[in-house]
Amino acid sequence: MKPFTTHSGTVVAMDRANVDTDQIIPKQFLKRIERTGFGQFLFFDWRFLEDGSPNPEFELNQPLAAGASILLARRNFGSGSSREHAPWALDDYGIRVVIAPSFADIFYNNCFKNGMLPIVFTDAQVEELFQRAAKHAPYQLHIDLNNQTVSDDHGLNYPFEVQSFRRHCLLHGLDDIGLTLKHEPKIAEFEARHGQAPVAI
Amino acid sequence: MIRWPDNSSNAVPRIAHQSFLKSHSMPQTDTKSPRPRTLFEKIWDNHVVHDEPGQQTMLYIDLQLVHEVTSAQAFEGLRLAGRRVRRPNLTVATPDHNVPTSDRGLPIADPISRKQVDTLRQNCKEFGIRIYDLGDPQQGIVHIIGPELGLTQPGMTIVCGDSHTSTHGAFGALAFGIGTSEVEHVLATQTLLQYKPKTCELRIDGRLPLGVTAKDLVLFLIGKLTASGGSGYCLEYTGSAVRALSMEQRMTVCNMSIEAGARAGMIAPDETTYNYLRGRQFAPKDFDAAVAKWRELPSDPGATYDRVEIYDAADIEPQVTWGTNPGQVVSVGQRVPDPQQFDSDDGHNLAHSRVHWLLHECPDRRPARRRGGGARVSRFRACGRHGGARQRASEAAGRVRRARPDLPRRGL
Repeated sequence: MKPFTTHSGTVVAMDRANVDTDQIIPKQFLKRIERTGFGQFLFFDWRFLEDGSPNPEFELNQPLAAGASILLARRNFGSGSSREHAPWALDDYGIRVVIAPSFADIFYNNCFKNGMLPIVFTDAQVEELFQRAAKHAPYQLHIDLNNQTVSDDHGLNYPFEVQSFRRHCLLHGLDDIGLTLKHEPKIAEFEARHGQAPVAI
Repeated sequence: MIRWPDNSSNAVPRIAHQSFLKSHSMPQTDTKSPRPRTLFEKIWDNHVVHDEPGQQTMLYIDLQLVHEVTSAQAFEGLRLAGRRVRRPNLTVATPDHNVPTSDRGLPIADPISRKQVDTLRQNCKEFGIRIYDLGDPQQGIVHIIGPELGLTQPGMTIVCGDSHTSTHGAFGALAFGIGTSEVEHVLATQTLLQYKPKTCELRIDGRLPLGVTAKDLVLFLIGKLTASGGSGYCLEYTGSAVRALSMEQRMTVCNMSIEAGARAGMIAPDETTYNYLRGRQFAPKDFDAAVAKWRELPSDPGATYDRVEIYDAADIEPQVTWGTNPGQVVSVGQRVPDPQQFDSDDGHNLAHSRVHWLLHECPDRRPARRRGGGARVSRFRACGRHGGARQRASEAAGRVRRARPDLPRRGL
């Protein structure tokens, strides 16, 4: 997993609450055998018109949101089905940070497992960010995970909370496997003692 | 005994059996306490790599079985992270979910099925994993080829991305199903992070009556436990009725442990187990030495379980399931429960939601049918066959009929 330390990028402001995982990545795209390549289907039903052309009304298709890597949204982002394809799709599209007043639990966990940073701010702080995003578009934010701050170029500086273990894993790019592999000497030592099953193949 | 062709395209290193026999599946003698232990505890203790209080235990996995449905994204994850399979020789694959019943010489007709099978083949080649591919005489359902090949042995830890992996517990192995992210974890580390389950002994003494099969036995037990009663437990089936079962019957029983909500079920190895395994392709070469170790596995006298249930085999009749989950089962001589009893249960909720949908959301007659409206209406009716439930069902149907004359009357 790629480490996350600092990130600067353009904000796409989605003034929507309860954005669910079936909107993030609709169910018809779940049959793929890869975990990459979902970015092209991100927000598919909102992002594209019926003829397949980009929907000019949709936030991600606004010229000032081009190349956005920070997603700003309202309450309960990532609700609905537990599909891990949702963070896969956001990540594949290029989103590295999602900011919202609250997240659905599984989605929130899955972000960390996939090297993305979900940040929780109060409703008032999120409202302030929405206003600034509208006023200063294309709006840039700077995220510093080490110091746990979000800042912009116009004097805003918000500290944010993140569980220390999760912060540690993100800073060092450790996923579950990475964490286990930190115990590699113990696994090797166990194998030497245990021998191996008779799968002589 | 079938030998691999030496020019096999994905041959991987052989492992000396002797190193295995020195220690594998042997209850560790360095255990400090002489406390009597169950079969489960012996296998668990013997596979702990790392343990910290309050955290999941890192458990060593002796064998991972892989099939095409739950592995593609695990291999993809390895590839993206630049990781390899830690022990390809402890990993065996076979396509078994998307396999055509006939005409296997032809390409698989369904494109998604074909892609999953092709992807498994490519992944096995890339990561050096033995695959029993389509056309191989030993290809088969993953839970069956393990035993048939002699890969499944007493005392092992076995996982597979399929809930019915509990089947292998019939051999006195600790075997359970895992999810795709766990498949990837085992591929990369040969370990799995697990909370220790509680133990439950299901003892069935006596002889099963004539005509009562292993399936009847396990359905009877699930009926007693309910479909979620085994949740959080590793089940061990004991007693003379279990001892009398063949290996195939034991596999049937352990297979359905998952239907009781348990992740694993197991039966201690005995002569039946050893006789089944003797001479199998991957059975230990020094078989008698292996058997001597395996004899130490069964639960010690005085070992305690978190829960014990005891049944008399003579009480078990052929079983009939009547509902929507395997815990809804009765003996062939019994009556199905009175629907009054589950009137306020799921059935009623389902009916209620159907009424709401029919009244307010169902767009018109044709979409109603196309969307399975007809079938669901029938179910709505079926769960209101008696008494008060029937009365309410009838009233609800009347409301729907009056409000939505455009809907089909049949089924309401």
